[in-house]
Amino acid sequence: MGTCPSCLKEILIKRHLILKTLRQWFYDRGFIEIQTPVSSDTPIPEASIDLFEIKDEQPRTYLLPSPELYLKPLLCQGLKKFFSIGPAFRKKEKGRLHLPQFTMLEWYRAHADYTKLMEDCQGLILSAWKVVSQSNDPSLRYDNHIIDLSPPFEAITIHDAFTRYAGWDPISVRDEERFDKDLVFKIEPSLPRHRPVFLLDFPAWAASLSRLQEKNCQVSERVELFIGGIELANGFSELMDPEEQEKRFHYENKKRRHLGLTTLTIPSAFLSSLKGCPPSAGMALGVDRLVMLLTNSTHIRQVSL
Amino acid sequence: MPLLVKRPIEIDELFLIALFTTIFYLHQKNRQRSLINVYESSDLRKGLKIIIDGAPYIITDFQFSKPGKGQALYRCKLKNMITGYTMDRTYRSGDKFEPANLHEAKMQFLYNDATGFHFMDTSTYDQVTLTPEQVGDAKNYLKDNMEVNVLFFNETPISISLPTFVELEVVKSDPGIKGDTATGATKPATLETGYTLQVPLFIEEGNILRIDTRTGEYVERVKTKG
Repeated sequence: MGTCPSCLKEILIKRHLILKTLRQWFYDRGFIEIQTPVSSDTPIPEASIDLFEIKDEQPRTYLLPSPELYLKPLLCQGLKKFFSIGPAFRKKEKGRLHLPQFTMLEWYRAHADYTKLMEDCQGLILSAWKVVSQSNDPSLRYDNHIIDLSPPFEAITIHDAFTRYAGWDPISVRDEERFDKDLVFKIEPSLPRHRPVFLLDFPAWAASLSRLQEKNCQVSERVELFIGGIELANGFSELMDPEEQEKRFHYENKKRRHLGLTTLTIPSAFLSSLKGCPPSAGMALGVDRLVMLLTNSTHIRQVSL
Repeated sequence: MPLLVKRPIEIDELFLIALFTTIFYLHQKNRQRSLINVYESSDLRKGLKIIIDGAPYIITDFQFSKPGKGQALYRCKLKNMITGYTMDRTYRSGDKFEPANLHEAKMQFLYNDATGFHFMDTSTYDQVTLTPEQVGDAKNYLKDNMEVNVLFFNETPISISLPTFVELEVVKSDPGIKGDTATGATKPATLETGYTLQVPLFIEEGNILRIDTRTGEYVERVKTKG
């Protein structure tokens, strides 16, 4: 809840305008909207996500941390462009940018890779800002910075960002703990604040569901968008190899065991649905965070009920 | 030593010794675990008191961060509740913390001498002694029979907290120079505790003053005595 009731009213109206604009942006480009269930007994095993378990359900059923499980298989059903906007659940995530229940926009494109997703982000965010600000001025004020939203956004590879700001290269050196810490404490604070920035080409080990680059299998085709110090969206060219994906799921489960989390059943229906899928790309964007950015709110609670 | 038989230890004896040692060790470990109620990283928040390297710390600032697809990081600013030393620490999911067992008791200040500052619990008549370092600046405001809160860590007193305002008598202050009425003009005055501070010119010896213990400054004259 916001700190004052009148702010909440204004924010809810702006939030509505943002949602309406996002949907319209996708409709205008031939996307269809999909509604996905919010629970499953075979969620995608990811080491870093703690799941809410639904009590008394048999077999063990969880609230989903993203709609990916239901959306990605649709690419093989012949759907080429689709999106969903809905709730996502992640246990124990609470902070200025985190809520255990938040709203996620996720979209997929067949016959496209992550560079197309970057283009989408630019268009989506600028059009949402134009509606909220009721002007054509691409400059946005957030957290005492003026941010120029006009495309193209800046793009920095993980290799360049880490070499420049952290003094090492996570593509050639595998140190997952140091990678997370340096990303938060060294890279994020060093990224330019007056422009949106794409951070791309993550180490292969830091992208469980992403395709690897053809020219360099140490690098995954994964991208994250940062605006005003907020990590706003994450996307990648989708891995469509069921065997490779299964191996990675086992690895994620191994990490979960190590962290004291329950291991999850390998989602076999999801794996077999990848067979014969066209090359595709998908991206997820935190809707609450986008509303924060476009309403100059400092805490995620201010923009959610 | 006629009772000790000198012979090599048999292998089955060795086995029994090892077995008992292991059982004893596991028992102790289990006891510790069941006795201590443990915090996890996700329990960390501002104001929480935890033990680090045997000392009680309070979390004065807290921030949750989580890189996309990465592990959660819990950034804490921590203050040592005994020394006041502050530090930054970052914790990860899976880290465990022991809660600091702290409690406060209302106590009366009795006196101070070479061994320290002595306080008494008015209901149990228990007495405790704190060092001048533990009392800190509060010594400027302590007078006999004053009620304060004493903070204990595992039954050991570690610090005191005073009421925000205390009333103390002026024992020495030279008269203000007549005619000097410029606003804000002050002079030094010494209180019954030995503490010297700046007061307005109209204050005289024997006056009772209200002092703000947070800043150590004069607030107002409560009454004129004598």
